[in-house]
Amino acid sequence: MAADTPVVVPHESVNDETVKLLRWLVADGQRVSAGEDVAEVEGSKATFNVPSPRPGVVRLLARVGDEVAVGAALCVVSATDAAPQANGQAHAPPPPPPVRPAAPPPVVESRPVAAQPVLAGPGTQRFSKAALELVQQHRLDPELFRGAALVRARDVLARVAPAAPAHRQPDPPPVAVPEPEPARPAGGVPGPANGPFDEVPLSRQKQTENRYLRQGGAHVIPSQVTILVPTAGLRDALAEDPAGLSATALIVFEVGRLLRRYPDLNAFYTSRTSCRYREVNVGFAVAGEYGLKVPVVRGADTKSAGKVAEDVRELLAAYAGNTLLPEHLSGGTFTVSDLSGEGVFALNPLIVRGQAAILGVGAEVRHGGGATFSLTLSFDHQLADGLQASRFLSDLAARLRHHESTLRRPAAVPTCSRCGRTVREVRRLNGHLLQTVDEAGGVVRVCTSCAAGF
Amino acid sequence: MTQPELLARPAPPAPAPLYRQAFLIRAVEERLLQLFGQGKLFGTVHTCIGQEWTGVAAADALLDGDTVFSNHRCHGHYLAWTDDADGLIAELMGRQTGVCAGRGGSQHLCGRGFFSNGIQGGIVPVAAGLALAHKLAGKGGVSAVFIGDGTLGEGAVYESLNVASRWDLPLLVLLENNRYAQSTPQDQTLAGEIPARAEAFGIEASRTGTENPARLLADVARAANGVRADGRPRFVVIDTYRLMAHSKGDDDRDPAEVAEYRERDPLTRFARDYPAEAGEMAAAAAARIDAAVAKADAAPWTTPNEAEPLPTGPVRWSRTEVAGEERAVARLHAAFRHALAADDRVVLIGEDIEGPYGGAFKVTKNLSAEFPGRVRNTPISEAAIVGVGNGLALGGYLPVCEIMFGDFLGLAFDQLLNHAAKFRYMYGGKVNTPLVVRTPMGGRRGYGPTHSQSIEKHFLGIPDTRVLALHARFDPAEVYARLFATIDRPTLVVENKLLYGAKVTHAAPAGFVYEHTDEPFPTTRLRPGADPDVTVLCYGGMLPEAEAAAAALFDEHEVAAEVICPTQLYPFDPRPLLESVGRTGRLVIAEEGPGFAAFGAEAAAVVAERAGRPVRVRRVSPPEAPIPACGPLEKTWLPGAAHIVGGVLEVTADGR
Repeated sequence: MAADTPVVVPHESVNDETVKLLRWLVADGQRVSAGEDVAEVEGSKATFNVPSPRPGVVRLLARVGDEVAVGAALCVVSATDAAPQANGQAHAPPPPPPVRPAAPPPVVESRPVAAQPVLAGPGTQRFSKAALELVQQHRLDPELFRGAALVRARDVLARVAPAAPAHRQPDPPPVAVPEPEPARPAGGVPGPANGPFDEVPLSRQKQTENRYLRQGGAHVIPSQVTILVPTAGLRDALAEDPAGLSATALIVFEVGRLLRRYPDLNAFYTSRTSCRYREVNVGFAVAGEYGLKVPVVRGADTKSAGKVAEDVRELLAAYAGNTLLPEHLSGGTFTVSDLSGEGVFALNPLIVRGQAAILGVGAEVRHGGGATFSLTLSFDHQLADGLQASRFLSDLAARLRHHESTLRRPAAVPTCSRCGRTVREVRRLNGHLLQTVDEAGGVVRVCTSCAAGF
Repeated sequence: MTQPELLARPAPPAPAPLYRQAFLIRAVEERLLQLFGQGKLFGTVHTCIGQEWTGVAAADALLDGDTVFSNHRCHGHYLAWTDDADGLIAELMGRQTGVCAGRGGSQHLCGRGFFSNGIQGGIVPVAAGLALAHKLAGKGGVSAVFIGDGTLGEGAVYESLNVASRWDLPLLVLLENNRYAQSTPQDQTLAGEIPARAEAFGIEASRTGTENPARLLADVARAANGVRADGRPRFVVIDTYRLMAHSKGDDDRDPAEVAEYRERDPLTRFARDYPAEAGEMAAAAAARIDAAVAKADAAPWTTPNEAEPLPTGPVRWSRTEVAGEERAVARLHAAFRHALAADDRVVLIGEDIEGPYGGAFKVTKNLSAEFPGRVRNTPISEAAIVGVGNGLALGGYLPVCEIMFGDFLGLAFDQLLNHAAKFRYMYGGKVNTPLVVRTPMGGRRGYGPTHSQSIEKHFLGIPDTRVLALHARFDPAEVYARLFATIDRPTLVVENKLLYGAKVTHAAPAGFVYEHTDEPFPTTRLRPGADPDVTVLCYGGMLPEAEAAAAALFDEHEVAAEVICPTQLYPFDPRPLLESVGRTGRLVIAEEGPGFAAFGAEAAAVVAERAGRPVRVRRVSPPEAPIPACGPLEKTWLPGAAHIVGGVLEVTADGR
């Protein structure tokens, strides 16, 4: 069967890069002969008809009114009759030729303007490249500059300098802005009350957390991918690891290394730009006596697993002692939320302000034949897509499973407690290895040969 | 003289009042020579002594409502047609009471449908255009035009004869064959036969002369009546002889030849045959002339041209919403369709503009079918196209002449410079010329050295004209709507070739807005959302480049550029530019055509004179060389956004 032949928009006028499809001269699925006109299109100079280069059955690709690029296919012509039905969706018959309305008198509408500033509406704000780099470097929220149409590096620096704490030169923390809190009606019943209630003001901690999350969500297009990772007991294996690498530390370590390969997940989005962080600073959520906090392992991609484990231990100790400093909590470029300890199957973590993604780790779930745990990536779809996210998770899963296999001690091969044959040798002799208990209640294994010998 | 003697003589060959007219003409011309000698006239004087009967015959044959065009030797034609000796003499003496307020002088007279111009041949297409106006008006008017045998060297004559015959125009061409082109005898410069020229175009030609006034009157009347009857042109060769110099001090003819013709001159013969009548006629003429000169002497000099005041005061800006996102070519089509429907005076002429072709850039697509007779294909005759447009404009129409490529405007330059642009002033404000000439300019299409130029600089600065350059950030249809509503002078509209395919939208790059002044033909400003560091001046086809440069300048260099883009290049209202450079102190001017003595040079001069602060200026324009056809070379030849960025970096090099 001959391949489909596209019917492309010819290069009729040097002035045009696109033409407008005025109407179809054939119906979808109609048989046409070579040279028969299939469509009428409009360029800047003329309307003209586009003929089919060969006989066959047409399948329409564009809609009336579309701007079609010169050289792009309007439709395809295939030799087979069945082709149009193949995609199952019959197009509507072509609409009647559009009646060209009488050309309207020229219409414009003017309104006088004072010398008011140019206000930046959606999509009308412009950052210079240098400004963008600074925003990225200082992990600022581009929202800070709402209202400024043109943002230069000096505008960014003006925001950075006064907010920078004296004791941290290189990396001032993100600058907070008053969040747009939904207005509370004066004296009235707040919110969507469905019955009597008591008002309990949120803790400052929770308010801060809310603000960050709200800001994080304001600029992302959230999306989510979850995979299930089979495991033979990663946590058990870790628990037996003499190096003392905790599950959290391992995940932080591996995520850190992996983010180097996924720079758009270690980034933030602003004005058509992926602002990729130069450092990889992985935060991990801790919730306990002192509320939800996200201490950050800085330079997670540059540290050894042992160093990461040490950092995690110190940060956890600081949390436990309520001695976490602002610098421990700032500068995160990616976040891990591990709720496996709570028996959570899967979770939908919220992306933190100024970040592109957050990893949620579920608990191991045992079932017939093994165990699994879930890895969920919430990510900003402006920077990545589902395929990238799932590859990231798969790569992470593969690395974790690799740890599982290397950390685990060589499995003890079952042997007969009497003759010392391994289970494989026993099977070769057409025997079986039986499991029983000794006087003390301990498990002992004995092969059928030895058992028979008794 | 005694009664019996008078009865014994033959009757004069023409009616006495016409002799009186002829004597007046001769007496005026002779007096003008005297006045010249006394230093009371300016420039020079072309007298028609010996040729008086041509004007007399034409005036006798034509009717009220007809129009008469004439040339440098126009006094006799004018006097015969108007009998306005006072106005003529005062005009030549430069007085406010002159027929053209003293502004036109000897060669530029206007009154009662009479128009003369000193440019050889250039008035003929204008006469053809007024013939078309007569035809469109349908009232049986005739357009007559005097030319000389020397004028036969001008191509515009033949373009006009072709058009007049092809279009069946009521045009009466009266050729005064006095056998000399200034001082050059005809046999040195004229090939072929004179009547054969007209006959080649299918125009009925006839031959007569001034030696026999009676026959002349009959021949001219027959031709004029023929034109009126069938609406077709006629061409009359009138053999005559100029008894005085062409002008002043340029007569090298054999005195014996001149003396012989003076003997044969009908007025000489009449004075010999009827000395009493001739004496009375001459005395009456002298008395009228004495009075006219005395009145003119007492009248004030003409006033200087009222220089058009440019708008003053602060610039007011507005944001303009463009409805929809049509291509400019569709907006232009809509504008002309609307104008044709709304105003019967609008007439479109040009090469290939009728359907189905609809113009090289398709602006007039289908309009000829919708408005038959008012959207006309012309021959490839740019001088005639614009000349006919001039005649239509004088006849009360609103002609729109399409010149297929701006490069071809050179062929029509005389019609713009010496006709359209001069009529209002030199005819003392009696007429204006609402002529629209629109043409595509610009490169980036590879059409090469004679089809890709931006030659508008050659058309800038012609007083009493307007030059507009359209762009896609202000609706071109709105520009034309305003033009048709307000047009009071010849207007050249430059349409960049890339404009036609561009979408008309006010959308600006992020961080910028487009604003427009409230002038009829506004200046457009691309205003950055921060205090501007530099001003970029451009027009027409350079606006997209300036827009791209402004975006790149901010992204890459943090320079906020404000783009000023006037629609009206001439007269130039510098206020928006001055306002901007007043803030920035830095100016980059971008033009698509070579920059020497171009718009940018003028703008830079205005800034130097009036900015009120030092302004660093750079001009960005192509090399002083023809534009190449070769695509890659053309790309490097034409200034683009990168060149503008470079210019801006130069003027901002010392920081901000």
